[in-house]
Amino acid sequence: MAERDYIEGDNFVFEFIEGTGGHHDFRSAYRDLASRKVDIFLVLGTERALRAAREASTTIPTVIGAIDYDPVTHGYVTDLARPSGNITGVYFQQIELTAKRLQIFKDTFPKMRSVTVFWGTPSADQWKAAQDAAPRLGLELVGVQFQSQPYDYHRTFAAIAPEHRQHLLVVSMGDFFVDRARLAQFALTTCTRSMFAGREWVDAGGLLSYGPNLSGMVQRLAEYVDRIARGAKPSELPIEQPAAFELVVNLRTAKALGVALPASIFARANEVLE
Amino acid sequence: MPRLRGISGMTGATGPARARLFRKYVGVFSLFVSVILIANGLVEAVFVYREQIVLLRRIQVEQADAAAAKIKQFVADIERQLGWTVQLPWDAGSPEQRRLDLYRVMRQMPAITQLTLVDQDGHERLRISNLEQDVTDSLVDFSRNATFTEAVVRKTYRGPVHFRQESVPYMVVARSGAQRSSGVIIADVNLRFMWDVVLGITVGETGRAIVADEAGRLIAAPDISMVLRNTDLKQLIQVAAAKAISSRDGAARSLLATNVEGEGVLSTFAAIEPLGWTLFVELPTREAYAPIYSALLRSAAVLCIGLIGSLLAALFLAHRMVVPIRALQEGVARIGAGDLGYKVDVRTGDELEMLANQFNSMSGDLRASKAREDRLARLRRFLSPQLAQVIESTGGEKLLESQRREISVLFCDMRGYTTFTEAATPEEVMQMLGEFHSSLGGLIHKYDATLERFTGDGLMAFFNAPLPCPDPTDRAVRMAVDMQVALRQLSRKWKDLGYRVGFGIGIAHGEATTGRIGFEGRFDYAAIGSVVNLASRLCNEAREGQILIEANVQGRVAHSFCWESLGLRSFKGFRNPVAVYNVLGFRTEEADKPTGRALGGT
Repeated sequence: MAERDYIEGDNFVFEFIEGTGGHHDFRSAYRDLASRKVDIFLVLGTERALRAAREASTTIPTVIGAIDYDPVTHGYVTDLARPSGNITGVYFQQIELTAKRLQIFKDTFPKMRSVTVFWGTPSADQWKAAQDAAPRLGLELVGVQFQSQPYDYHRTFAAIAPEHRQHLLVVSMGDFFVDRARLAQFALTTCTRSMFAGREWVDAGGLLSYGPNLSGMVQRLAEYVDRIARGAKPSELPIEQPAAFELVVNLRTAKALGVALPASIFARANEVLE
Repeated sequence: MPRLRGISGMTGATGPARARLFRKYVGVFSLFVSVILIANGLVEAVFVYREQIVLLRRIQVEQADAAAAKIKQFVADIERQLGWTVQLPWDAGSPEQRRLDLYRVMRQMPAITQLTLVDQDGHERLRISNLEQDVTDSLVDFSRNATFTEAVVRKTYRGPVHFRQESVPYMVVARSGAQRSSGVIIADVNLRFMWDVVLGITVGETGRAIVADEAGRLIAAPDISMVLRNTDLKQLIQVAAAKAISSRDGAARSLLATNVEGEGVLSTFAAIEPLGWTLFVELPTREAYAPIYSALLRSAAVLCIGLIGSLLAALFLAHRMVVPIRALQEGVARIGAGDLGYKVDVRTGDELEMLANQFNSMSGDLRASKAREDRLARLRRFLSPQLAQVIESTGGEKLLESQRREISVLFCDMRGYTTFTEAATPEEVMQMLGEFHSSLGGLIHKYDATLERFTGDGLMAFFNAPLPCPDPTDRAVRMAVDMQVALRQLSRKWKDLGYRVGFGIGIAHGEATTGRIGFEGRFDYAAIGSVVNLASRLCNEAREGQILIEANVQGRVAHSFCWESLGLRSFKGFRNPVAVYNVLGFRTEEADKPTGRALGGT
C-alpha cells in the first residue's frame, strides 16, 4: 500500500480483527468492522471469512483474495470479467492447482505411490480435488485434517502408517502459511519429501512448491483497494487469476533428504535454491 | 462676481480636460501595445500549434511503430521458441527429450499456458499445461483441425484471439517442423502477458499504448482491468480509421479522437502484421496541447504585463503632462482672480517648464504694470492726468514724500448753499454739485493744480507741490479768475431755476508741509500749515464773486492783475491783522479785459 502513496494513519487505516478461526469469530469480527464504518473489506483467505463479511454488510465494497474457494462456482460473483455486486479481487485457483501439484510431485518421484495430505476445513475443496486426481496418478492419499490451532504436526503424523509418511502434500491454507517454517522444519526432521503451494514454504526449507507468486497477487489486491478507494466500482474491476505459476525447488533440502531429482524437474523449475 | 464665476468655470473645465488627456494617452498606449502583443501572441500560438502538432504526430508515429514492433516481437519470440521443439523428425528424439523441450519452452515463455505436440498424422502425442494435468499419447485426432492443417501448410498458424471465461484473451499459435515428420506444436498463449510489453511503452506523461485484435477488441492495455473486462473498441473512430487507412500513410495514422473512457486523445495507430492487430498510441489532448496552452498562457502573461506597463507609462506621461498643465491653469485662474504674485512651479525640464517660466515672467510684468497702474490711480486722485503721467514716468513716488515748501493755496466755496440744499430736492442738489465739480475739475486740470479735496460745496487746491512750478501764485489767481467766470454762468442758470448761489474764493501763499497722509488703500496728498488756514479764512471772508488774497499773493501778482485793497482784517487763529485784497481781473493787454472789467464791475 505504501507504494501507492498510502500512509497508514494518514489517508488510510487498517482495521484489524484477529480471529482464532471459528466461523463465529469471523462473523462478530466483520460485524464489528462494519459497525466501525470501514470503506472497504479486504477478505484474504477462506470462504468463511467472505461469508461472514457478507453477513455483516453487503454494501461495503469487498476485495477478496480467494484462496480456497472459487467465487464463481460458489455464486459470489456472476462472472470474472464483470463481477456483479460489490465483490471483486483475485482468485488464486488453488483447487485446480492441487491436482497439478500432485502430478508434478509424481513426476519428481515416479515411484511415489502414497501421499499424505495436510488440509483443514477451509481447504476442503483442495482436499477433494486431490482425491479426484489421485487415482489418475496411481496414488493413494492419506488426508490429515487440522482443526484447531496450534497444529501438532509431529503427533498427528506419528499416527499415520509409516508407508504413507514418505511424501507430504500441504494444501494452500492461511494457517499453513503462518506455520510454513514449522512445516518445512517438520518435513526435514521427519525425512519427508514435501510439496507446497508456494515458494514461501520452499524458502523456509520445503522441498518443492508449485503455485502463483503470492506476494505478486497480494500486490494486485492492493491495487484493487486503491482503485476502489479512488472511486472505481467493484463490478467494473474484473476478477483476476494468476497467469503464471512457478515451480521452486530447494536443492539443499533435497541433499539433506538424500534424494535425487530428475532432469525434468530442473527443466521446468523456475527457480532452484542451492 | 463675474470674475469668480469665470474661475469656477475654469476649474470645472479641468476635470474633463484631464480625463480626456488621460483617456487619450491610456487608450492610445494600450491599443498600440496590446495590438502588437496580441498579434505576436497569436502568431506564436499558431506556429507553436502547427509545429507541436507536426512534432507530436511524428513522435507518435515513431512510438506506435516501435511499440507495434515490440508486440510483434512478443509473438515472434513465441513462434521461434516453438520452432525449436519441432526441428527434429518425430523418431529422432525420445519422448522424454521432447517432454523436456516443452518444459523448457514453457518455463521460458510464461505466456504459454499449454503446449500440445501433434505427430505428422495429426494425433496428439503430448500435452503439458501449467494448470491442467499433463497428458501423454492421448492420440486425440487433430488431422481435421484447422490449427493442424494450417500449420502444416503455412508452417505457422496464428489463431484468432478468444477470451477465456469471457475475460482473459488467449490465442493459439501452431508451428510445423522443417520436415513434415516433425509434427506440429500447438501453444495456448495467454495474451495477458502483453501487459508487461505495453506497460513498458511510455507515451508522454499520461499517454499509453493499447492493442486491439482484428475484431476490434482490446487485448492489451496498461490497465489490465480494461482487457479482462473484454472491452470492445469497434465503435471508436480511430479503430475504424485503422481498418481503412494504410499503415504506410504516416501522417494520416494520427488523428484526434476519444478513447474508450471518453477522453479526448491524439491517437496514432500502427498495424501489427501479420497478426491483423492494431496498436494505438494515445496521448490525452490535455497533455498533447499543454505546450500550446502554455505558449498561449505565456503570451497572455506578456500581454498583461505589456498592458499594465503601457497603462503605467500612459499614467506617468499623462501625469507629467497634466500636473504642469493644471499648475498653469491654476496660475491663470489665480492671476485672473487678481493674485498677481502667484508663481507657477513647474520643473519638468521641457517645453512645459519653459511655458511656465514665460507665464511667470508674464505675471511678473502684469504685476509691475498693475503696481504702476495703482500708483497712477493714486496720483490721479489729486493731480491732473498729465501731471500724474509725468510723475509716474519720472518715477516720482518720492515726490509724494512729505516736504516743506512754499505753496499757493486756493479755497473756494458756495454762497447760499445751505439755503439751496434746504429748498432743493436731493436730485437737484446732486445735479448742481455735479455741474459745479465738473466745471471746476476742468480748470484744475488746465492749471495743473493739486486738488487736495472736494468738499460738498467747495474745494481746496494748491500749487507748487508735489510738482514744483515756477509761478504758483500767478496760476492760482488765474485759475480763481477763470473759476469765477465759469461759476457765474452756473449761478445764472440756477438763478433761472429760482435758486440764488454764488462763490467766494480765498488764496494765500506761504510755507506749508505737504505729503501723503492717510492709510494703506486710502492715501491723500495734503498740505498742512497756517497758509492753509489763512486761505480758508480768506475764502470764508469772501463775498459772492470775490477772490480774496493776502499780501504774499498780492506782492507776487500785483503787476499782472487788477486788484483792490480791502484793508486789514483780523482772522481767528491769527494774532496780527492781515492785509486783504480782492482780485478784480487780468491786467495784461492780452488778458481778458472784459473779464477784468466784469470782475471789477461786481
